[in-house]
Amino acid sequence: MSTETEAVDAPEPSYLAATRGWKSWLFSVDHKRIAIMYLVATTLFMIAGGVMAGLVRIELFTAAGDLLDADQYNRAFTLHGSIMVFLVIIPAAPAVLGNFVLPLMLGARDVAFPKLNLASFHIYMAGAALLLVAMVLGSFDTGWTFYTPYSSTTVGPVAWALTGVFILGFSSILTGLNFIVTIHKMRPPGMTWLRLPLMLWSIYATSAVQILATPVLAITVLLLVIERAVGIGIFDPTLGGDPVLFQHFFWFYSHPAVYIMILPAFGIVSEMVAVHSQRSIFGYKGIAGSSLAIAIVGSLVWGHHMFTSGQSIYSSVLFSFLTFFIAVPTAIKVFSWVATMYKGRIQFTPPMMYVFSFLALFMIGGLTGVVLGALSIDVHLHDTYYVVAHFHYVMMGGAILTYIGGLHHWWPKMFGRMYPMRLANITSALVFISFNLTFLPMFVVGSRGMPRRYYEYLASFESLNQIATVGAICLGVSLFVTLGYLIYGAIWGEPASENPWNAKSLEWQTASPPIEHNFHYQPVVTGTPYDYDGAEPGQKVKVAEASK
Amino acid sequence: MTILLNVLVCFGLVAVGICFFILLPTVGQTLVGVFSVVLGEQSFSFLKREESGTVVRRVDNPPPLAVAEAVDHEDDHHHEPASLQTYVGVYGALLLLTVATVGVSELGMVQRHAIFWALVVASAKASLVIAWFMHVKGGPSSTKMILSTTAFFMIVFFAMTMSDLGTRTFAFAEEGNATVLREANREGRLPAGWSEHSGGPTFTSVDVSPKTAYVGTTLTCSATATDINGDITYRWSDGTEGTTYNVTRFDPVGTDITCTVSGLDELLVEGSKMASAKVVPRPDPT
Amino acid sequence: MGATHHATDQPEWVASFFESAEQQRSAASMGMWLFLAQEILFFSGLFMAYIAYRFLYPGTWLSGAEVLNKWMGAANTVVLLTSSLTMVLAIRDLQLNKTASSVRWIWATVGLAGVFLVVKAFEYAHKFHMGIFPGGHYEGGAVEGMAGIFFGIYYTATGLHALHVIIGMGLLGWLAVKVKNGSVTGENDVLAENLGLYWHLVDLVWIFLFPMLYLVK
Repeated sequence: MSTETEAVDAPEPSYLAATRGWKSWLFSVDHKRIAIMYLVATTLFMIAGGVMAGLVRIELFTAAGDLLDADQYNRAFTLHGSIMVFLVIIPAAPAVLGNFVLPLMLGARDVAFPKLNLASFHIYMAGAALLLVAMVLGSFDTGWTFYTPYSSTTVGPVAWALTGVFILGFSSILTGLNFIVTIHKMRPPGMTWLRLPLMLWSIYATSAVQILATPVLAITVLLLVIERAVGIGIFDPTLGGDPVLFQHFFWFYSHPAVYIMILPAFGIVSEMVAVHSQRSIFGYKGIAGSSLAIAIVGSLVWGHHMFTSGQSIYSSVLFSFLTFFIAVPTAIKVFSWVATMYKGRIQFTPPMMYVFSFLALFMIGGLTGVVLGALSIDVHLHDTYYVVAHFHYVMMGGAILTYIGGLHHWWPKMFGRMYPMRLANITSALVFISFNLTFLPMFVVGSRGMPRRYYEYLASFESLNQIATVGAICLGVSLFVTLGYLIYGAIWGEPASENPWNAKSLEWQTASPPIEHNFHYQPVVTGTPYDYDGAEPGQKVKVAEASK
Repeated sequence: MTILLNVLVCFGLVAVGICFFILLPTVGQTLVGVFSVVLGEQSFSFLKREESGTVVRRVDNPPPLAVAEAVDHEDDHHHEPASLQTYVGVYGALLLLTVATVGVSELGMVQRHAIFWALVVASAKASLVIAWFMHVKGGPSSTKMILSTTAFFMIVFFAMTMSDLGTRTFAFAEEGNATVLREANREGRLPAGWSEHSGGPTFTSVDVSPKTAYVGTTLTCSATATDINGDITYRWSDGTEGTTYNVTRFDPVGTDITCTVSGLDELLVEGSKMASAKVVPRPDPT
Repeated sequence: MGATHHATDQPEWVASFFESAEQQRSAASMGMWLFLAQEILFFSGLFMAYIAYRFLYPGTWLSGAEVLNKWMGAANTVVLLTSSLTMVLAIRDLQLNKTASSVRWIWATVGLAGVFLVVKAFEYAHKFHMGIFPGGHYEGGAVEGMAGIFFGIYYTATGLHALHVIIGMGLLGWLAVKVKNGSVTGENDVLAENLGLYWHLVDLVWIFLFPMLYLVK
C-alpha cells in the first residue's frame, strides 16, 4: 500500500469535516455519520417517549383520574412503551454506539455493507414515521404488546403502528446482519476471535438474536394486519383461532428482544469497567461465552410472560424452570466486572459513575426478575407495578443509563471534545438518586397489589405514587442537564486527545474524531484489548514502516 | 396428543435428517469451539491464527496488506461449477421424489402416517436442493453454522409452543378449543370420518362394589372405557372425587350412593356413565 | 480518500474498504445466507400456525385438503423444481463465461416463475368461484369444521410465497440485464449466486408447503 506516505505528511480532515452539506450527512455511507444520525433520531424519540412517561406519572400523582381521561391515559402509556421499545432502546445501543465503534474497535475501514447500513437508517426513519402517523391519527391504545383479540378488534390506527413495527424490524435485521458479517470478514491481521474486545462479542450475540427472532415479529404483525384487514381468523376465537397463540408468536420475539436491549449494555460496561479501573478484564472468556449463552437461553423462556394468560400449567412449569438458568450467565458477568475493579486504579470519571449505577440498578432489576420468573409468585405479581418497576430497572437502569454512560465514554472519540467532567459526575449521581426515587416505590405498591395500566388507583397508594412522580420529574430534569452538557461539550468543550482514558483497544489509537477511513494504516493486532497489567502496550495500530 | 407427537416427531426427523446430511461436521466444530472457549485456547489452537500474546508479525517486516490475515480463508475460495450431470441428476431425483410423494398420498393412508411420509420426502427434497443447488455441500462452514442455528431456533419455536397447546386443552378442558370442537360437533359440522368419535368415550363397564353398604363400608368404583383420551374421573353423589367412598352416618338408610364416571375422547367430547350401591341397616353383629 | 486506497491490482468492482475480491465475495455470500436465515424464520411463523391448528382441528384439515387440487399443486412443484435447475445452469454458464446462454437460462427461470403464478391464479380463481374465502368470509360450505382458518392459512402462506416469487422475477430480470451488459461476469458473479440462493429458498418453501397443504391425506 504505497499510497500511505502522502497521507502521513498532510493530515486528513476528520469524518465530521470531510464533506459538507445536509446531503453529505443524509446519504452518507460512513458508519460514523450514520451513527451520529441515529444518535440524533433516538435522542429526539427518547424525549418524545419521556414526555409520554411524564404525562403518565403526572396523571398518577393523585389517586383520582383528573389530568387525563381513561382513553388519553391508554394512549399515553401505549406511546411511551412503543416509542421507548421500538424506536429508542432496541436501536440505541447497537445502532448508535455499535455503528460508531464496531469498525473502529475491529480495525476495519467500514462495516461490510455500508450502503445497507445507510438503508437500515432510512428504513428505520420510515418505520418511525408510520408509528408517528399512528400516534397522530387517533386512539392507538393496545399497549406496546398488541395483544389479541383487543388489538384485532379495537378501532383506531393500529394497522399503521403494526406496519411501522414491521418496517422497523427490517431495519433491525439488516443492522444485525451487517454487524455479524463485519465481525466475521473484516478483521485485520492478528485480530483473532479471542482478541476481540468484549463490546464486539456482545454486539455479535445481539445481532444473532436480531436476525433469528425479529422475523418472527415480522410475520406476527403481518398476520395481525391481515387479521384486521380481511379477518382470516388465525387469532380470532370466534372463528376457532387461539389468541394465546398470538402471545407465543409475540414473545418468541419480544423476550429475546429484552436481550437485544441489554446485551449491548453488557458490552459497554465490560469496556468501561476495564478502562476506568485501568485493569485487565477478569474472566474474558467467561464474559464472552456468557453473552452467547444468554442469547441462546434467552430464546427458550418466552412463556414466562404468559403464566396467567391461559397457558398450560405444564408449559408454565417448564418455562419457569428454564427462566432461572438466565441468572447463571448473567451472574458470571456481574462477578467478573466486580472482580475487574478489585485492586484496580479506579478513576472517578463519569463513565465509571455509570458503571457503579449500572451494577446497583441491574442487580435489583435482575434479582427481581428471578422473583418474577418463579411461577407461583408471578401469578400474584403479574400485571402489577412490581413488574413495571422490575423492567424499568433492567431496561432503563440497565440498558438506557448504560447507553448514556457509553456515550460519555466514547463522546471524546465521537466529537473530539470533552464535556465538563465535574458537572457530569454530579449529574450522574442525581440521575441515580432520582431513578431510585421513581422506581423503588413501585416495587412496594406493586407487591401490595396496585395493577398497571389503570389511570385511577386506591387512595392508600397515593403517597408512594407521589414520591415516584417527584422522582420522575427530577430524573427528567437530570437527563435534560446531561443532554445539555453533552451538546455543549461536543461543540464548545476542550479538545480531547487521541486517548483521554488511557485505553488499549484500537478505536483509541486513531485521531479524535477519527478520519473518514478510520485508520491511516492497516492495523496489525498484537495483543489483547485489556492489557493494563503486563508490559505489553495493548492493541496497537502498527505503522507499516517498510512501505514508507 | 398423538397427532401432536407425530407432528413433533416429523419435525424432529426433518431436523435430524438435515443435520446428518450436511451439518454434522459443523456441529462437531461448534462444540469444539465452545469447549475451547471454556477450557482454554491452548487445547484447540486452530481457532486462532497464532499463539496468543505474541507479536503476529514483526513491524519492520510488514505483511502484504492486500491480504487480510484474520479473515476466514476457508470461505474465500471460488468454488468450481459442478458438472452438468450432477445438476441434471439432482433434478431427476427431485422429480422422482415428487412423483413418489403424490403417489403415497393416493394410497389413502391414515392422516398421521400420510403427513409423516409426506414430510420425510419433503425433507429429502429440501436436503438435495440445499446440498447441491445451494452449494452447501463442500461450501464454507459458516453457512452450515447459520443453517443449523436457524433450524435450532425454528424447532425451539415449534416444540415449546406445542408444549403449551398440546397440554393446555387437557388442563382447561372446559374452555376454549374444546368448546369450539364440541360446538362444531353439535352442529354436525365435523367431517364424516370423525363423527363416529363424537359421542364421547364409550364406557364398557362401570361397577360399584359391594352393592350394599352400611356405615363403615368402603365402596370402590371401577370402570373401563374405549376411545378415551386422558384419565377417567370418578365422582360420587356427594360431589367428592376418587375411586373409593366411605359410608358414614350422614348417609341415610335406603338412599342410593352413585358413582359417575366421565372422560374425554379424542375430540375432547365428554361422555359419562353411572353405577350405584344401596345403603342398608347395619347387620346385627351377632 | 488518501490513505486507504485499495491496492491498484484489484478489479474496479472491488469496493475500497475490502482488501481483496475474495473478501468481498465471501462477505456478500455470508450476508445472503444470514438473510435467508431470517426468511426461513419468517416463514416458520406460518408453519407454526399450521402445526397449531392442524393439531386442534385435524378433521378440518382432512376435509380442507380435499378441496385443493392436488394435481395443480404437483404441476406447480415440477415447474418450480425445473426453474431451480435452470437457475443453477444459468450460474454455471456464467462461471464458464458463456454469457449468452446464461442470459437465456435466467429468462427461462423467469418464464417458469410466470407459469407458476398463472397456475396459482387459476387455483385462486377456482376457489373464489366456489365461495372459498379466508376466515370469516368463508361461504363455501364444502369443508367441514374450521374451514375459515384452514383457508386463512392457505391463502396467507401461498400468497406470501407468491409475493416472493414475484419479487424473485423482478430481481432475476434485473440480473439478466446486468449479465447481458457485462456488469456481472464470471469473475464478479456473487450477485448471480446470491439471487440463485434466494430463488432456491423460494423453491424450498414450496417443497414444504405442497405436502402440508395438498397432501394431508
